[in-house]
Amino acid sequence: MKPRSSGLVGERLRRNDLIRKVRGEVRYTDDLKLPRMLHARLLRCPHPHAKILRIDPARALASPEVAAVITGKDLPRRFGIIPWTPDEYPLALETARFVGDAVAAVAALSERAADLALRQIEVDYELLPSVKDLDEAESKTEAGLGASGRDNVSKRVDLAFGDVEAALAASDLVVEGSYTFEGTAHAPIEPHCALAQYDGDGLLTLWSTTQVPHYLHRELSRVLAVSPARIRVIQPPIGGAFGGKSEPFALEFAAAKLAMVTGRPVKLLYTREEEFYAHRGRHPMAMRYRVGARSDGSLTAVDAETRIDGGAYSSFGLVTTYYSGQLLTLPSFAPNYRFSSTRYFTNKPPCGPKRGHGSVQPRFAFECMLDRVAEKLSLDPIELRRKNAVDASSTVNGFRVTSNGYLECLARVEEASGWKERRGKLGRGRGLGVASSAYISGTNYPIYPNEMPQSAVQLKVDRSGVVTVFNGASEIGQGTDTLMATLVADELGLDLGAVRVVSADSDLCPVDLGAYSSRGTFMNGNACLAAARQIRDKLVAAVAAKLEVAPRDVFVSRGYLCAVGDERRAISVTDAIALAEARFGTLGATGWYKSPEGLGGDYRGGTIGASPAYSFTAHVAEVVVDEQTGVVRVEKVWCAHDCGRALCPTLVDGQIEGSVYMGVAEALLEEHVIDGRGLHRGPNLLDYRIPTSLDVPDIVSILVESHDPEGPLGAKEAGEGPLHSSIPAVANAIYDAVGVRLDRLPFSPGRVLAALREQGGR
Amino acid sequence: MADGSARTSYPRPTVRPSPFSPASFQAPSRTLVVDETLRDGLQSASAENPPIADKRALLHAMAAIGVDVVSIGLPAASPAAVDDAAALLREIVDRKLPLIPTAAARTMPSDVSAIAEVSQRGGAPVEVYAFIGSSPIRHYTEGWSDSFLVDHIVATGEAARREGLPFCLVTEDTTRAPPTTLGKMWSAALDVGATRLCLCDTVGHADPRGVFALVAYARDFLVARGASHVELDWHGHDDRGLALGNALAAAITGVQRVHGTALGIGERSGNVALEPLLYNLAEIGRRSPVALPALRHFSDTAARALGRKVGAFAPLVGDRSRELDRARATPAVLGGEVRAAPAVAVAVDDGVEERLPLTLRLNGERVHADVPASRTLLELLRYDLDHIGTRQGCDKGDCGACTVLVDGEPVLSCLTLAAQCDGREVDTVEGLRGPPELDPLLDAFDRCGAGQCGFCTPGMLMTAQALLAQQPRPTRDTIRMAISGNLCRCTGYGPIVSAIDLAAKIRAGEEPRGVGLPGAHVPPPLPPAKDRAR
Repeated sequence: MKPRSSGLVGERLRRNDLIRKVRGEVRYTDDLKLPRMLHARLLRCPHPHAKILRIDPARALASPEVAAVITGKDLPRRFGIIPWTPDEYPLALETARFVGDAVAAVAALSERAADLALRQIEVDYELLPSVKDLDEAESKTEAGLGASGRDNVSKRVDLAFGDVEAALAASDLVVEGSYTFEGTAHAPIEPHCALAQYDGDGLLTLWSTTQVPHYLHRELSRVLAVSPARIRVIQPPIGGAFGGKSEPFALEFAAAKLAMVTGRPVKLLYTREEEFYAHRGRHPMAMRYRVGARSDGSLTAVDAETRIDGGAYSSFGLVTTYYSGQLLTLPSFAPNYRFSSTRYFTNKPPCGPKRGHGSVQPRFAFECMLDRVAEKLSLDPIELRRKNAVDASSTVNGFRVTSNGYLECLARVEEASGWKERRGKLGRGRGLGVASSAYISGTNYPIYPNEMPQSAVQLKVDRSGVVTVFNGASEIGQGTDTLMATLVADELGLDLGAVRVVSADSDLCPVDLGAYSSRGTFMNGNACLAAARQIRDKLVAAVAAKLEVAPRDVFVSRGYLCAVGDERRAISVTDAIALAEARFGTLGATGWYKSPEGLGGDYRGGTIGASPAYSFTAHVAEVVVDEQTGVVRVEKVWCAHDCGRALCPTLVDGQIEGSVYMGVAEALLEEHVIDGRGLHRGPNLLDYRIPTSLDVPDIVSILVESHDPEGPLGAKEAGEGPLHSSIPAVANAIYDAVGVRLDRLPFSPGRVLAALREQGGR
Repeated sequence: MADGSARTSYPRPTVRPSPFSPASFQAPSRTLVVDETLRDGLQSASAENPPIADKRALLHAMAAIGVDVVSIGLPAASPAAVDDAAALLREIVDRKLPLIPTAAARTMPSDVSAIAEVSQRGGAPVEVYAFIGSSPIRHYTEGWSDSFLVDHIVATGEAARREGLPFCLVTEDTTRAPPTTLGKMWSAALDVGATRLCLCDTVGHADPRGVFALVAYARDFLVARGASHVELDWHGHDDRGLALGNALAAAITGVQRVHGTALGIGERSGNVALEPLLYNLAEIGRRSPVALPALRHFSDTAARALGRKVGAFAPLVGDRSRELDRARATPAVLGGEVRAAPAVAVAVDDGVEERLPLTLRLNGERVHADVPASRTLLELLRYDLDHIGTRQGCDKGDCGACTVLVDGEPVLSCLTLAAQCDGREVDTVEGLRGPPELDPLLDAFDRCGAGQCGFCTPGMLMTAQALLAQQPRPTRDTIRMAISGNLCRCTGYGPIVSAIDLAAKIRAGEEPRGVGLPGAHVPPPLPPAKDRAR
């Protein structure tokens, strides 16, 4: 066979896992079934804030079908994903802080028996004053939900760069605005599930729908007081996560403890209703902005004040609070910036990270502000963004920028949407809007301070011609397994069918910090390349010796290693592996990635939001507004995203389209409302309206490749960035269509109609 | 979480000469049938709002099968809904159709005004069916007090009286409401001159025994209040497959009107299907028989209007029934609803779960199972038969991840009882061929990036399978419509639509199979071992 020199990177390949996943040939967590397995359920508090006076499981335990009941007293150690704010117990110990806080867990012979047993557990509560929203969180200090017990503050961040007041005073124009983002849910189709086994050797194995198996491993050890050497965490394929599975949860600790107590495997699967109480959705935020500009359109200063509704616990809240300000300073920004963000506790389900952690809400506010600045100055909003594009290698808050495809993103959506010819000429009721954003490719620092690698892989090379990648990263549907296989196959000239990937098993794979902050491609990709290149060097050396040419005169093509200039002198990869194994001994390699030292600003909190590379995005949305009904239909969205380099373009498109889908859903449909009594307004997939196939726009995904110098083959993130500016693009398009500014999400028919009426009344 | 879902027990009637007919009550000799297709039926997630011409045609089809009462919509929903309802009323008046018009309203005076407008424009009175939530969970969720409900009922009833329209109070979830709450709501309605009360089982939660008790309780209430002239309606859903049995029970116990929809279309599992309801009411002597051709014409008209199709196994009106008729020249009652429902009902009614033996054909293979009566098809597949490709996403019929085919029709296996599938063909994603002759759907989904996490994909594939069996070359719009009951959270649906389109082309031979499948460069097999015996 004549060797070909084309690589796999950049080709539209198939995934390496889909068919097996959909034919039921690999097991998701709830598909696992172990001998003598028990089923567990959690008892949840029905009050927003209550002291637990007594829990009596006697009636539940009387049933022959009930194996065990545990309460907070059985797991009396605090945990929390951020090491500085551990404020949760797996099962509430003394007080329950939201409707849905877990207070006890039951293991029984069947799920139904466990469910019935929950009703037999008697709990006496003493109701405590509760806090239902941001206004109450500020005023009702007697609730004492904060760490000090004297207020309800979770975290406060005040940072200033430059002299904002002076710059605003010297501006030709200062625009002010207030914006509200109600929370939204991740709503993955797969509910959370955990399965624990405590075997005869005293080894605890936990299978879980987690996107952070390593952090889970550490927290299990802490909370259960078991050596990490006696714990194995396995993450099976995940049916969607979107940030909702990125910290340890009550179900994992409860299943593990129940397995240890009963000596039998225990599975705990959340119901769809529990998902809405226990999943840690996107934070509601109330945001006030002032933006100054000169009459030529150059921005002078940005002043932001943000109140964040954190719900009952800290979760990732410290980071959320920083991200709400820190991630705004790209891609178009001002030289002076101040933000004050305060996260409050309320007696509602705790909030955490959702795709675009902490920065989707402020991005909505800020990009709407830019549209207003452009309008006041009679500038094209794309021109305004171009004029203020940050082209320096460092942002106002001290972040290093190594590659920037922003201007190309703007140009590409401008052209593709027919912006210049069409905007403002579509007639009343139809409009175009633009917005843009930037996002991190992984956070530069691990959650717990350490000097070790953040991502790693080990390669095992078999003389049959198979390479196995033992990969710490979490495959959650985004395609890291496929990406790893592609990188290895590309480097070594292998067929994709000859690369296996084993992921996220703490006994088999090296540590990776998890699938969050869009770190997979950048960090794991680099780790994987580093390992594959060591093997490649050995294959090349062995082939060079055999062909009697210099190593630099050997190149790797699909299936063969060939002599440069004479492709007929080729040795198949399998034979090359045999030669290398004979020459160097058994082949294997490790590769890891550790981010550069010293990234970020030189101030307290200056490292939060620092990333080795940033992605850039521009959106144009086309909407139609029905002025009779207030229904907004997003017809089309053009999204140009600078992902550095598209290693697997089908996967990148999938991330862009999925992000735009999710953003448009948050713009129009989704609202995670907890009422005054702490109850969710519609904890199911009928009332919480995630889009159907009939509710989505046409999405045009445009790949921009800026080739980051530190990314793997130039690549950066694509999983979260393309969500951000889809929401303000829709808002700005609505303004273009009917002339109303919407400052509260989602843009439901009622809100649109109210705004139109107000407009008519003026 | 505490959801107050413990069963409500109704006080038994004190005087019961026959089990279901107190002495003071004169059971009606004929049961009227209310067609809710154009109101409750349209609440089905997959029903389309038909153009007005189709709605008119459906009115005529209803009249032809002897429907007595018709709901012409919920006028307060939108200006367009007022227009449609007025046009339907006009049609009834102008063409002198023997249909009593009713319209739905939330229990709010403004909704009555919308019906009054319809009545004015159409030139005939319209009965107001004002609905209000009556279950404890709803009251708890919404924060409604009894006095809040009573105030709304009184204000709405008075509005109807001012407009001169008959008023019926519809307690949405009567089977789960405490008798004390019902008493307050009914009293308020009677005080403002309600002429009827509608008893509902909108979650399909009752069994016939409960229906007997509830209707008897309501009748006793009316007699005690000296309001025997006030009539009763029954409106029940099919979540447990008991809707038909419950409606017949209501008719036997003496409600004057029972509700249903064409083909049983409605939320989740749907309402009572009018076709078997009319047939069986005739069988028990409550109505005169209905001609099957008219009944089938009605089903076909409704299916066309609502963008549905008549299921092959639908009792009386499905293709199988029609074929058998043609073969035998006698009507045949076929289909699981009629066959399976009584067995399940008996099993659940005993309080102890009976195990039911069943046989089905799973992906072409005969499977025997012995399951508790309440076992769902999803549980049977996943937990008993280890067919884990079918996924549980929401367990309440909202997400579509558990979609499988039963006799070729896509159904939600989480809402389908295993026992209902006795004798049927069930097809799951495991039945799609793997390599080397990869099924075109799997091939296309893989090639188009139509699955990411893969969790919704099996359900999506089965919906697509049913679509392509019905329409070998659907348009992209048809595909979008077909998969609209399957939620995907990863892809934004675009690649899924492309994949189904591509699969159709691969099946038609217009696109090659297996493009880009890995394997072109895997090493060759090892050479055969040397034959040492020689």
